[in-house]
Amino acid sequence: MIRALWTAASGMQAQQLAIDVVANNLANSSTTGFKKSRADFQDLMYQTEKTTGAPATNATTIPTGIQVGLGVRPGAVSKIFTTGNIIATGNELDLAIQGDGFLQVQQSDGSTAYTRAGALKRDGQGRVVTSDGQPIIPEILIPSNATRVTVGSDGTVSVQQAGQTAATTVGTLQLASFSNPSGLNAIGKNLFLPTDSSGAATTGTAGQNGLGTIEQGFLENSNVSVMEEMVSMIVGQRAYEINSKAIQASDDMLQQAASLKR
Amino acid sequence: MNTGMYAAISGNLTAMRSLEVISNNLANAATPGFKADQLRFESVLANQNTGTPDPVFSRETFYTDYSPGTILQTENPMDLALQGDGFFAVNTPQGTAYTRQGNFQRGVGGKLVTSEGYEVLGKSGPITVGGNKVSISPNGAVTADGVAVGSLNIVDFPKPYQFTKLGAGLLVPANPQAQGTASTAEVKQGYLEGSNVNVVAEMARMIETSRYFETCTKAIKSYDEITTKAANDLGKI
Repeated sequence: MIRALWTAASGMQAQQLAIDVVANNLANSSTTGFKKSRADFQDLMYQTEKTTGAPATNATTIPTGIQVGLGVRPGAVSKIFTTGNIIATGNELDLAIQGDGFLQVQQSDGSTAYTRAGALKRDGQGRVVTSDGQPIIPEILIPSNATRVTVGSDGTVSVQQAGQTAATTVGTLQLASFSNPSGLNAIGKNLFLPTDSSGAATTGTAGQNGLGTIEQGFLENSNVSVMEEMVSMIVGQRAYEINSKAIQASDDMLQQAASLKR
Repeated sequence: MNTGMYAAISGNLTAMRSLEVISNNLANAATPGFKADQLRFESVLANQNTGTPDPVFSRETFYTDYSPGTILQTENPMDLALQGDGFFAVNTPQGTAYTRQGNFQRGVGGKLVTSEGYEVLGKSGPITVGGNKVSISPNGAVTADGVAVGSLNIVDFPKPYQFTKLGAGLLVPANPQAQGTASTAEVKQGYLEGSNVNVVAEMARMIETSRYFETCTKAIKSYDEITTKAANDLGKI
């Protein structure tokens, strides 16, 4: 009896995690470059009370044993790397990646992080940086007298300087890709770090080797489908409720058992 | 004394066991590839051989419903669902296990693994998925960046299936010598098979079980009252 209580409690716990994941997806439903997560569950271990195939008599065997499962636990929360909606912003340093690929970002500790949030800015020194001020790798310096920045689909950055007619190339953006982006470690601020599961980054020129192209003046929105998340939320909430009913039923039965002794 | 009381207690015990199974099904109502368990009761005469008019006890028969769950689109290229009868083969420390829970991951070194980290087996051993684009055809052939890297080993077993559940969606054949045959199931990439738990039916079963427990408890109480009368009232002069 106590087993049923704990089994149902594990179900409630699992659904809490599912709702946590949905809530984070919804909270980020308009975060640039955000990738939604999904919680997956696994059944817990089983207690075998009667073994399948064990002899029942000399001539017969038990066709199906009895295995009582002990509930559920979260198996994995994985990121889903589908492309979000691409929105035109007209801003010259807003870059969307059409296809696979990540921009490389220099972190303050020197390591490289990866992002698809291409809302880039220019800092005081003229470097191209993320919204948090972290420079893009390879570093691109935009001269202070630049009147116009153009980013080609292969990542070539050129500027038009005041008083000059010809454009000057100031650098080339590179993209990185991973064999299993779902395995990336999300560290917040739209940044991802590679893991054993994601594999190491391979860098290259945009538009080559399956890397996406860079679109200037566009931003990739979050890939969260609000409708889908609402449905997941309803499913999670009901599953939570149902598990709480199982706890109530177990409790009722325990109470009746206790009331046997007058 | 009061053999009927023991019959009622056996009813209580089976109701408890039944609720445990129902709770586990409900807890796993959102577990990919989960197959619901069911307990059924059948009456047995406790002492058939001796022919004594002993009470009717109830005995459980246990069975797992292997019907397919709903297939949901997830858009994750490492999520695989099987349409049709069959199981993915997985390498575990306890030997080869089988599963329909296809939320696979890319493990260390690019090996295709389950979310527990067990290797997913191909027809010739574990499958390593390097490259950027992994695509898996309906017949289980795996290609990474257009290069064939293996073929999933999808097997089926004679029905009714006789498996022992290991947890984490893994099943092992009850007979360790059992060999699977090639399955005709179609692999769907970017989809997951949901749990086949029918929540409404489980809720109905839960109500039924609670009431059954209550009834058995009442029967025990009645026996108790009768015994009380016998002990206290009959002796009164």
